[in-house]
Amino acid sequence: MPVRLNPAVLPAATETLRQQVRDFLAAELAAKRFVPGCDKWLGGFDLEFSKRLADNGWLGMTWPKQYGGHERSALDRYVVTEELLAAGAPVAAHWVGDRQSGPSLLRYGTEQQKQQYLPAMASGEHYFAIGMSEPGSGSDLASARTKADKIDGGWRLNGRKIWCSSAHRVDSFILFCRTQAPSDDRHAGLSQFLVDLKSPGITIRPMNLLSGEHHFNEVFIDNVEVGDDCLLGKEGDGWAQVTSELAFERSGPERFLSTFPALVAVLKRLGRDADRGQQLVIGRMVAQLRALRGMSVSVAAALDKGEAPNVEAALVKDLGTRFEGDMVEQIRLLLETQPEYGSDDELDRLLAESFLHMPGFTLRGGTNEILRGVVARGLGLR
Amino acid sequence: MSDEIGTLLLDSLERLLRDQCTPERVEASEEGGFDAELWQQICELELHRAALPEAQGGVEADLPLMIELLQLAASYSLPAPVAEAMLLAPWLVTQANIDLPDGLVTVAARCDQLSLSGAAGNWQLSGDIGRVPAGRFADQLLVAVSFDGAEKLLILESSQWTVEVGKNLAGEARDRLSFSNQQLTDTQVVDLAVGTAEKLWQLGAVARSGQLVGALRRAQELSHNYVQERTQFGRPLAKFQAIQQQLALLAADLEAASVMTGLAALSFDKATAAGDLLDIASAKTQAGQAAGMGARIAHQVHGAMGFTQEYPLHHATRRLWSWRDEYGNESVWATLIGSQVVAAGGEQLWPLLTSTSR
Repeated sequence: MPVRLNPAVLPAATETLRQQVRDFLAAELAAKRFVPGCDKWLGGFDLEFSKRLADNGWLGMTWPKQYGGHERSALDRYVVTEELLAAGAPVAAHWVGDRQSGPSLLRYGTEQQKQQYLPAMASGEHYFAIGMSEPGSGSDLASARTKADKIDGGWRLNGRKIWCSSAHRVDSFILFCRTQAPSDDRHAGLSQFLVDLKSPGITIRPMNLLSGEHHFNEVFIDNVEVGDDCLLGKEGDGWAQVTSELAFERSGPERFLSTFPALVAVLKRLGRDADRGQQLVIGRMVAQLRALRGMSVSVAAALDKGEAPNVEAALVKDLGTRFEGDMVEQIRLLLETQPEYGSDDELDRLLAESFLHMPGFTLRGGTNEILRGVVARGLGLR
Repeated sequence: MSDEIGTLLLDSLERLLRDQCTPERVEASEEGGFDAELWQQICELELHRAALPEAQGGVEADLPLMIELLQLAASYSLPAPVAEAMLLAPWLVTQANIDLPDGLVTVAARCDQLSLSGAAGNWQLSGDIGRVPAGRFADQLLVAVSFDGAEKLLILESSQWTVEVGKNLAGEARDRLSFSNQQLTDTQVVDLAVGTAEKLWQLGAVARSGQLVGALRRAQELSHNYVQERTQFGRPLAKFQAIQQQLALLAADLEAASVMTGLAALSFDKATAAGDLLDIASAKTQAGQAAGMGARIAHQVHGAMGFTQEYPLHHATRRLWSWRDEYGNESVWATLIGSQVVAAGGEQLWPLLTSTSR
């Protein structure tokens, strides 16, 4: 089976939109409404910033107008997301909902569910977290033990979820759990539910990052009762639904741009007098960035044409997440730095943010080892 | 040029190579890397003229298609200087608005030690050029030289040079051609626009990037076949995760080089924008990097079997180790990118990375 990406570039029509986003970001920076940071799609939670994006029509961009969307192309959305990431803007509040919960709702939700959530998400009034991983269920997602028992008119939920980014601050999450006991078909009997994080029986415990930041949470689900109308998609189809959600999760520019602001900062620190050795290191990083962006745009263009480049997306994510970590290792050695969290020095601060977040780059959304397994299967080796 | 013509050209080259360009045939051309009979068959298909304008007997094949043809040739380790004869020579004669000379035409993109003197009616050429692809086999050589603040295309004939043989790691001829006070006729000296020589060098880099991708695909294919056939500890090698992970790494670097080369081919012909040079430089940097990594992985998964001349993997990997150093290695191109990025400053990096030439 061939694994092949056809090189694609963004259509010229996206350039106007790109300029609008750049103008918006310049105004935000001028008004000191955000400080550029690394990995801000995980760590930059700013409801007001997300709301201003919504006011510009940049949330729910590709969704139908009847659900509050703007019916823009996926490539338009690509331009907006890459501009926000490159600027190190605080986009964490809406990231998960805009990237995957919304598209899942559009694909699997009932009319009533779509009406209930999507317009509020697109207008920046309702935000989502992910409820997939569990203490005993990381890469092996099908081993989930959180369960839903059928009760009259609904379901009773019990279990634990972890790595739920911003669960303590957002409104809902999509819970992945067992609706039937495990059988020989490990992927059978799994379902997804839309759950209000303020429901009685939900307890949220912080799981602080190495930097001390509180973004991740452990969510305890203790006899939470939800109605039948909270089931997302079909009972028992959870595995297929969740894996299609992962395809959205794997293909974006956040998989190689998490540390990009540190590269801009080191260029500012170096000024015009970088020596040949420094130019070489910088040139290699920029060449890789140009290639990764070319690959990522090519995946986005294939998705936009209705293709399913799942293997290619896994391949780009493997390459991109290794790169965004390697890049800061190289930046660190371009000159003498002393990374310090919260430092007044921009480069030292950005490097600290990068290093303390770095272990997550090659874990989240599927570890690189799992991704390479996906690639190997695509290559016909498994 | 239509897509149908492109498909036709690719299909006819593929058929020829599949039937004729066997590992035994490649092996037989080890000394110098040129199979005159195969090259003749390529010329009979008119593939060496494909990039020429219709008025010159070509089909105006665009650069993305030409790069695909070069990739295909490289994936069969075709023993012929295809990049120079099929792409660089037609491109150069099109710039100079002259006909493509007959016979095997090779090109030298850098010729600092060549000196043209005199004037119309009395041109003299002296000096030498190192590492000319297929120099000893060529009937004609095209070079772009600086002369008096301008650039000239020289169309040189094999009777005018002496050869000192050399070769790259793949055994391909990289010969030194020397000229001793050669008298050139006026038809051998043609005006070129300033900057053509530099553009020729860049085109060479895109061409080699495409060939590197082709050779990598061959190394990948041989590796996939081998790990599925070879059994150790009671299972095919392909079933070992350690092997799968290595081949996934190879695939990732290969696709990065492939996409970047495709983008460089798309932007080469467009109006000169900063992004164009970035694409070319990034392509050669990524392809060179992937070549080293890919050759290492391919040999590792082949075990000792790929380490001898008895198995055809070396046809691909020795080309990888050679071509990555031709038309500028990763260091040359990355330093060029770095110097431009540093000169432009940090604020200009993102606009540069997102620029698209149209």
